[in-house]
Amino acid sequence: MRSLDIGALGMQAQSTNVDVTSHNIANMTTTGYKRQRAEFQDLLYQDLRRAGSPSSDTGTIVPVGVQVGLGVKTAAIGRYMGQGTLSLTENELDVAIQGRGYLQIDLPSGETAYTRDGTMKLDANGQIVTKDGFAVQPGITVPNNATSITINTSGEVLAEIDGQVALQNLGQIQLATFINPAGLDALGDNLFLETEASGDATTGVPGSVGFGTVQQGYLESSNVNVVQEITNLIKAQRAYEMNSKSISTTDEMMSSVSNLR
Amino acid sequence: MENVTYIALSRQKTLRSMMNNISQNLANMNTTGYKEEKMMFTDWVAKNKDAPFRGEREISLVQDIAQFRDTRVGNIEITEQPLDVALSQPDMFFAVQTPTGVQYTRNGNFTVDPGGQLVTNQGLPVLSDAGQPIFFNEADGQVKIKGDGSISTDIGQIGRLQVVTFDNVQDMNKTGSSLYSIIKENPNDPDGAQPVENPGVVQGALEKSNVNPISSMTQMIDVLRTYQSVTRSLESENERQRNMISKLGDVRA
Repeated sequence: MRSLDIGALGMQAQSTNVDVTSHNIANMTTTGYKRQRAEFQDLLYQDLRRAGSPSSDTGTIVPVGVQVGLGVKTAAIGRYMGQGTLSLTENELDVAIQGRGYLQIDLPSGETAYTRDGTMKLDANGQIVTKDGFAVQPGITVPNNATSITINTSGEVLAEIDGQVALQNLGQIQLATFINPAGLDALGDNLFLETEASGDATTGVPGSVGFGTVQQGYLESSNVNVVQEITNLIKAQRAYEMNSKSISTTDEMMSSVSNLR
Repeated sequence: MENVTYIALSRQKTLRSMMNNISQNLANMNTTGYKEEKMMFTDWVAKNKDAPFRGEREISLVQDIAQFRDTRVGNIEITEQPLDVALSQPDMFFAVQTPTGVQYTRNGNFTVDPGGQLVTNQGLPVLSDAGQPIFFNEADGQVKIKGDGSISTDIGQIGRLQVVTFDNVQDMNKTGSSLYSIIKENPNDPDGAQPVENPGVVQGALEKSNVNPISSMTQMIDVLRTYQSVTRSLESENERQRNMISKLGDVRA
């Protein structure tokens, strides 16, 4: 019977739903994490009795057909790009991006990765790097004798140097935007790679048209809404149970036939 | 003589397709824009003038004649995603360009492709009221979609989503992936889509499926029990025939 397979597909779809939801909950406190959502679609249909086909020689037609569905499939696991809340860290090398844009990171492989996680550190040479030690573009080096660093909303990194009155401009952080950020390929470690679906990166300085601004001393929290996730988890669990019920019902129907004497 | 068997068989067959249908509804309980399908049965009278007993001249079998689509609007769930749209009124559809022609959907889970084109999550272009694809570009910023389907961004009006309705939505053929098509005798015939003036588009929301889990579960129990009782009547008919054969075939007398 089809309903066995359909029920199994339904259970698979709901277990994907639970996977995605628990991934969101697990990353509830991950800096810059964007929540994901599984989207489902009905699978194809078999026409057993096609609407519109003639039902007699006099030309009467079947008004409504019989179409048997063959289950459900996961259509997409979309990423919801909404802004996360900003939390104060007072760390002078932490930045949060408010609005659109990603920081650009040089990977050891030579590729450029993109992130919303603005937790930055200094390496042994005074260069601004991520917490994994990858350089943030453009490479900005903080001199040894700098006493404090200020990053303004347009991404300019200014250092206060002992004995100098004026702040020294060390460089300007650049952001990248994408026409379809939901199409970025997640690499783990809060990093994303450009794909065919995301489109090419457009770079610019924070605060220019179409780009967000940066906030020093803050980090962007994840945009996971716990209440929503838990509700989704309950819905997925119940749907899973009902699909398993449809399998056991089908099984009982089949066993009542195979026990015919 | 075999009528009981045939009648029971026809009932079993329809109960099985009903069960398939229920599990399809349950599998799509969380599918965006899915509409519950219900089975319709009819009796089918077989006539046999030459049958030896009057009671056997007409026997009534059952067949599944059609499906009925429950077109009520499902729950509208807020997603806050700017390109998610839901239709708050029944019997209305967004137009989508597919390789085989225009098809229709109530699944408003839209995104943009790398070219800035508004597409479904399958990558199919969503059409404007002029029948053209809709494009965004980098400078557009915030997208606003109003209740009448018109799309505007920071730099002005971009277009309007095509929302259409049909004389008989039950006529629409499901093609899977949340899409519906219109069956046309000739590919160049108009498909009868009528534009809707005020479709009540809700931005940042999706329409969930309208499957009623309680009635589905009840139906499922009903199907199972009926199936079992039909099977039992098959069993007792079988028993009767066996008895008949052994008694009538007993030649000891």
